[in-house]
Amino acid sequence: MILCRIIKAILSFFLVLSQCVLLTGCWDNKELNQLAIIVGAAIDKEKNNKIKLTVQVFLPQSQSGGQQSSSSKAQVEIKSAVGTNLADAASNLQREYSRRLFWGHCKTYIFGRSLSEKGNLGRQIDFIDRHPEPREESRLYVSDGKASDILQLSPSLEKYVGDVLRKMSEMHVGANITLKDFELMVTSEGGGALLPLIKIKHQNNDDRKMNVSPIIGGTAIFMRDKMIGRINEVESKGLLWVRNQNELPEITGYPKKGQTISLYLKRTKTNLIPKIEKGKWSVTIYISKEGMIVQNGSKINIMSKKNTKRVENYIEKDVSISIEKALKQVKDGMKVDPFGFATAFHRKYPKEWEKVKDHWEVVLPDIYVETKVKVHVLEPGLSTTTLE
Amino acid sequence: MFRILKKRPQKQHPIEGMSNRNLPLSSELDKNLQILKSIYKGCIDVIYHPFLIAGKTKALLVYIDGLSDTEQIDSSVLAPLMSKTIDKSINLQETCENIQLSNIRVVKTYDDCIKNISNGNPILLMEHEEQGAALGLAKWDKRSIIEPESESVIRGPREGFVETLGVNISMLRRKIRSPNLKMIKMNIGSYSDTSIIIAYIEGIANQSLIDEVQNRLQKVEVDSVLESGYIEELIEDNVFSPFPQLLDTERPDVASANLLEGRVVILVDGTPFVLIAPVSFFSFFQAPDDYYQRYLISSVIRIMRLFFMLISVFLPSLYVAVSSFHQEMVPTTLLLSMASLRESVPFTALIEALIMEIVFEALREAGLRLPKQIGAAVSIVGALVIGQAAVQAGLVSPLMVIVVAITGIASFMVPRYSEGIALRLIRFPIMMLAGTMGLHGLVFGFIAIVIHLCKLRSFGVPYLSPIAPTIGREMKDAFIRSPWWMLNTRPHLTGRINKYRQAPNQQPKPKK
Repeated sequence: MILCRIIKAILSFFLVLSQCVLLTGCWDNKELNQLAIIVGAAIDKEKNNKIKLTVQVFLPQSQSGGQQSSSSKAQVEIKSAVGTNLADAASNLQREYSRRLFWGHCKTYIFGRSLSEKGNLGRQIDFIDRHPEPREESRLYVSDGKASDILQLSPSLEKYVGDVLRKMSEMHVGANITLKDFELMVTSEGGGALLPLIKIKHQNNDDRKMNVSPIIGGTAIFMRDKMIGRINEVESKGLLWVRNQNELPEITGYPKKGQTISLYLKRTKTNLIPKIEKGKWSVTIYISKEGMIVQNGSKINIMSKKNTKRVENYIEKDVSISIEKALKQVKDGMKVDPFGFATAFHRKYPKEWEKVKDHWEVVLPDIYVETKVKVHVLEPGLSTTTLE
Repeated sequence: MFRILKKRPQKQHPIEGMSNRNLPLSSELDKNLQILKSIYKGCIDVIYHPFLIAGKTKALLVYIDGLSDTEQIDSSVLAPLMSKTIDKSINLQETCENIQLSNIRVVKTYDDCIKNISNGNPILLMEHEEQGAALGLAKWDKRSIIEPESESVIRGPREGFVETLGVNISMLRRKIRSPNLKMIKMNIGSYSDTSIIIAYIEGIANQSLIDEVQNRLQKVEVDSVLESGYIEELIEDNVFSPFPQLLDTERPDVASANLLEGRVVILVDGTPFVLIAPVSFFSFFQAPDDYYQRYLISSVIRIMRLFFMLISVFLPSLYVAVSSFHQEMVPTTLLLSMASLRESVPFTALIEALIMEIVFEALREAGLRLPKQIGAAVSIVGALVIGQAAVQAGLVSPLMVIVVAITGIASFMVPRYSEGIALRLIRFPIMMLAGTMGLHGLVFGFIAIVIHLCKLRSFGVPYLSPIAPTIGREMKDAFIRSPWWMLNTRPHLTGRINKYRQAPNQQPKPKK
C-alpha cells in the first residue's frame, strides 16, 4: 500500500514536472549565445520620411581552451538599417543577424539633430518605452551631427561609446536625463524639455594619431518632442542649477582680472518661488550652495571670515551670470520653459494657470525672474594665500 | 500497473522454538539442559559447562563465548563453588551467597534465560531448583571513546557516543547527574532484540511527548534495529518529506543540551547515533560550537550558515534563470563577460548546470565512501575534471564552475549532514523549474518548499518554529545565538513546563 502510494506520488510528481517542461516551458527561453546584445543605438533621419537605425552589437569572443583574448577591449560591430520607424528598422536589421537582437542592455540612445529638429521624436521614443526589453532608465542624447558618427568612435577607457556617455551622465557632466525624465518633462505643464548634446572632439596626440572622443557640449532644448535650439556649456550649467540638478561640481569666480578662485560644491539646493501680484507674474530662484575652496589663484587671504564673504560674493556673481545667460537664451529667445516654472505656477496658482496654459509661450517671456544666490564656503583649505 | 504493486499478503514467519520459551524452568537439570540445547541448536558459540558444587550438587553454567568475562567466571564463580570448603549440599540462595559477584539476578523462565545469555550474563542452573541465577558478567570488546568524526568542533568536549548502550548512558549520566534524568527501556526487533532507551528529564520534558514517543516506538515491529535510522523512519511524522524530522547526533553534550530543553533522546544499542525529538528546522543549524564560543562570533556564523543555505539551494537555479531568461537583470559588464565565456558552450544553461551539479554530487559521494588515501586522489581528479578540463573541452563555462564550487561549499556549511543532503537534493527540481520558467519557476519552487516546511511537524512541533508560528522570544536562539545571560527560558514548545533555566539579570556589570 505504502509502496504504491510512494510510487504514485513520485510518478505524479514527475508527470507534473514534465508537463511544466513540455506544455509551457521554454517558450521565452533565450540562451545567452542566441542573443546579439545591443550596447548602443543611434537614430538618424533619412530621406522619404524614413529613419536609419544604427546599432552597436557586442561580439562575444570565445575564451575556451584557456586562451585569453589578446586585448581586453570588447569587440563591437556597427550595423545600420533603414525603416519607417524604429521597430521596422530593427526588424530590417534583424535580417543581417543570426542571433536575436537583444535590447535589454542598450542603455544609450542617440538621436541625430536633424531628426530631433524635425519633431515628433515621441513617435520613435515610444518603441523604447513600449517594447519590453529596453529600459526606462536608459539615457537619451542628441548628437550635434549625425548620430551614427558618435557610435563609430572607439573610446580609450570604456569598452564602447554608450558606456562612456552613460558614465559621464552619471557623473553629472551635462544633463543626466533618462527616458523616464524626458517623458516626464515632455508631458509636464510647460512642455519644455532638454537632452544633453554630444559633440565630437578632435585632439592631436604626440604620435600624430588623431584622438577622437565624444564630449557632452551643451544642451538641446525641446518644446514637447521637437528640438528647437541648443545652448552651450555655460548656459547649460545655469539651466541645470535652476532645475535643481548638478553639473560638474567646480565653479570658478573671478575676483579681479587675471585672478581666479575655485569652489568645489558639496551641496546645492534650488527653490522656485512663483508669485502673481496685480496680474504680474514673477519667479524668484533661491539657490544655496556650499562647498570648499580647491584653488586660490588670487591674492585674497581666504582664512579670514571677512574675505570668505568676498569670495562667496564673487562666486555668487558667477552663478548668477550663468543663470541669466540661460534664462535669456531659453526663456526669452526660444520661449521654452525647461526650468520648471510652469509646474511651480501650476502648483501654487492652479486657477490662474488654467487661464494661461494654452498660451504659455506668450506669457513666459514676460515673467520677471529674480535670482538670489547664496554661496557658503565651508572649508577654505589649510593655507592662507598663494605662494608669492 | 498499480495493481501489480498492490499489497500481497505477508506471511509471518514464527520463530522456531518459540513454544518452549515462556515455560518456567524445570527442576530437573537434564531437562533444562535439553530444552536450552534445543533452543540454541546449531549455535556453536553457546557453552554448556556442567560442574559439581562442592563435589556434590550437579550444576550447569550456560553462556555465550565472547560475551562473558571467562576469567571472572573462573575466579569468582567456579573457584569458590568448586572448593571443598562447602561441605553440605546447598540450595540456589546459598550458592549465590558464595559467589563473589555484586550483580546476580534470579531467572525463572527459559525466556529470561535466553535474554540473559544473549546479553552475556551466564546462567547458573542447579539440580532440584526451579530457578536459576543470571550472573552479571557481561563483557565484550568495545570501541574506546573517541572524538566523533561527523561532528568535529573547534572548542568543546572531544568525546562521542560509542556502539555500547551502557557506555552511552553513562556518558549522559556524567553530564546530567540529577536523578531527574529518567530512562525508559524497550526492546525492539524480533531477531536482534535491540535495547532502546528513551531518555528524558522529569519535570522538563512534557509527559505527553514522552507518551507519544513511547507509543510510536511500541508500534514498531521489525526483525532488527541495526542503526537508529531504522526506527527514525518508522516514527517520523511525514515520511515523504526530504527534510529530517529527528536530529541525530554522536555527541553526548548535544544530547544533554537537548534533554535540558525538554526534548527526548532515543538511544539505540549498537550505534553511536542517538535520535533527538522533537526538532525544528533551526535545530539543524545549531552547531555545538555555537554555545561554547562567544555569542557575537556564534551569531555571525549562524547567520552566515543560513545565508549560505539559501545559496546552496538557489544559486544554480538563479544562474540558470538569469542566463537563459532574464539577461536584462545582470549588470551589463558582467553580461558581456558571461556572453564571452558561454560562447563556445554547446548546451543550454540548464543542461550545463545539471551536468556540473550531478558530477559534483558524484564526486562527493565517491570521495565519501573511499578509504582516505584514495579519497584524496578522487578529489584531485575531481578538481581537475570540474575545474579545468570541462572548461577547456568547452563543455561548461568557467562561470558555471564558480557557481558549482560556491554551491558545494555552501551546502557543507550546514552543520548537520542529514539536513545538508536534503537541501542539496531539492535544488535539482528547483533548477529544472528555473530552467523552464525562469525566475517564476524559482519562486514557485521556493513557495512550494516554504509551504511544505510550514506543514511539517516533528512530534507535533511545527518544523519552522519559531518563524512559523512566530514566537518572538524564541528568536534568541534561531538566527542568532543570544548571550548566555539572555537565554533564561527554555524553548516554549518543548520546555514550557519548567520555563526558567537560570536566574535572570546575570549580565556581568559593575555593582551599582
